[in-house]
Amino acid sequence: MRTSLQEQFGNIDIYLFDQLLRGRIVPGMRVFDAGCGGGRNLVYLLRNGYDVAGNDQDPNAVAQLRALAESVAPDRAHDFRIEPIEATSFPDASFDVVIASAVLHFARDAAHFESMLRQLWRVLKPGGMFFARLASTIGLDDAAPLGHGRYRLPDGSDRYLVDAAAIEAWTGMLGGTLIDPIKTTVVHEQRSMTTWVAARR
Amino acid sequence: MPDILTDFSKASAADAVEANLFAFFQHLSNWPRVEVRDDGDCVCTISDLPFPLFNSVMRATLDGERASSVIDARMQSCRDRGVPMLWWTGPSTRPSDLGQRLSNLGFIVEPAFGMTADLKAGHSTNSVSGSDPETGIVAIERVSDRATLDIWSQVLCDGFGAPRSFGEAFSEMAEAIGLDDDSPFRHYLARIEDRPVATCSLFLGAGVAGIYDVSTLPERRRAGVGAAITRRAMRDARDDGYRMAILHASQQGLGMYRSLGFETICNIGQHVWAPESLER
Repeated sequence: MRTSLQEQFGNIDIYLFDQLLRGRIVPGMRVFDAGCGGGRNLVYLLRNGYDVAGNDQDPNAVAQLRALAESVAPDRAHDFRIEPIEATSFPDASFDVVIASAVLHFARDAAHFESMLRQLWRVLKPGGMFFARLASTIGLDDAAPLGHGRYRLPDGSDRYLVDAAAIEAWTGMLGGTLIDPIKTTVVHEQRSMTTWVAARR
Repeated sequence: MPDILTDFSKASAADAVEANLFAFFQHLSNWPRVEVRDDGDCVCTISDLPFPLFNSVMRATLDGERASSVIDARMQSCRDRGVPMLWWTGPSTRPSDLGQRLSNLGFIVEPAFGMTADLKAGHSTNSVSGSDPETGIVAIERVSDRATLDIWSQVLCDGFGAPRSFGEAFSEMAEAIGLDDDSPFRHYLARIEDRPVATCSLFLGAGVAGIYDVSTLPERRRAGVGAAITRRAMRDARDDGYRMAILHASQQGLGMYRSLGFETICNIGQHVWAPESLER
């Protein structure tokens, strides 16, 4: 019986799906999902023999993800840790792919953003791929600044926002190279979500 | 005047981003309210002023044990005086984990990007905006007297969200360094229809032009005034023979400075700590 797309892929981020289709994430790679939540981006990877790890500070989400991992890939060891991203405890240069899907924009301020980013970069292997989706100011005219880099978005949510210059500057500072152009989805008069894909040199 | 820096290699540019700042702090010794102490392996400014800027530590190249004793001594000194402090870190800082050590001790870091621009590149400095369709007429003047400096520092405070008492201290300090034509520390004030709206400072030191204090009143932002006033300072520096401009940008400022020809070179950390008695 064919499995449904939902069973196969879960609620995977469509831009992460794009990376899969393009062959940037292949079986056997070690993948780290920072702020993994209940594992919406990991269903396919778990089912298909990827070596997946993650962290999240919500114990319930991690428990849910551990149960999911047990059910779809019972024969593999999993490592999902309850911890904030800025305190990531995985070793240096241990992953081929680091995913930060809709997490960096929850930074409290610029220092928090930087500390999360540096942890994600630290655990990425040289040559590995960094994939982030995060809210930005790109194409958004009416985000109201709240201070410390945070803004109130037109949809009413408060987020830490970057722009293209910040993404480019951080990529360079961290010793990375953009491997895709910066792409942004503007949800008209609500928010902008930007995809940031870089390789560690 | 020091030799004009013309070496645009990345290492030289990163050095310049810090060296200009260090040179600025040396000038604080002209102001009796701040003592500047150079211990060889770090420089401190010590005052009774309740603002971190005037109680700074910078240019630290400390070996492991010495780092702990200097950190302890500086924190104790600020406790004794009841003032907050600011510790600057950058590419030259040793030990390299000093920022992390400070964070562990309760310092709050405000990260910044060191940026440099080639003033002769031209694309950014040739046109100093006299008018802008969105902002009306922008008039930019160089501050040459204390009364205008006091207006300038209030705009600075309102733009940065700093208390106005900080502006009063800043005015006093800037006057002590000098407001004459030849002063290395110059201040620019932008007005729209006679209302002061934005500030910028230029500090000429270590062979490069440092851009500081770029601030715009909240209601006048995103209209090009900050870029216009920065261009003016860059043009003046270029006309004085300087080749490289440097600045320390917050992440939010990166886009504007890039449009003026600046490139990101290094990270700069501003680590602020206040004694327990001052914490609210």
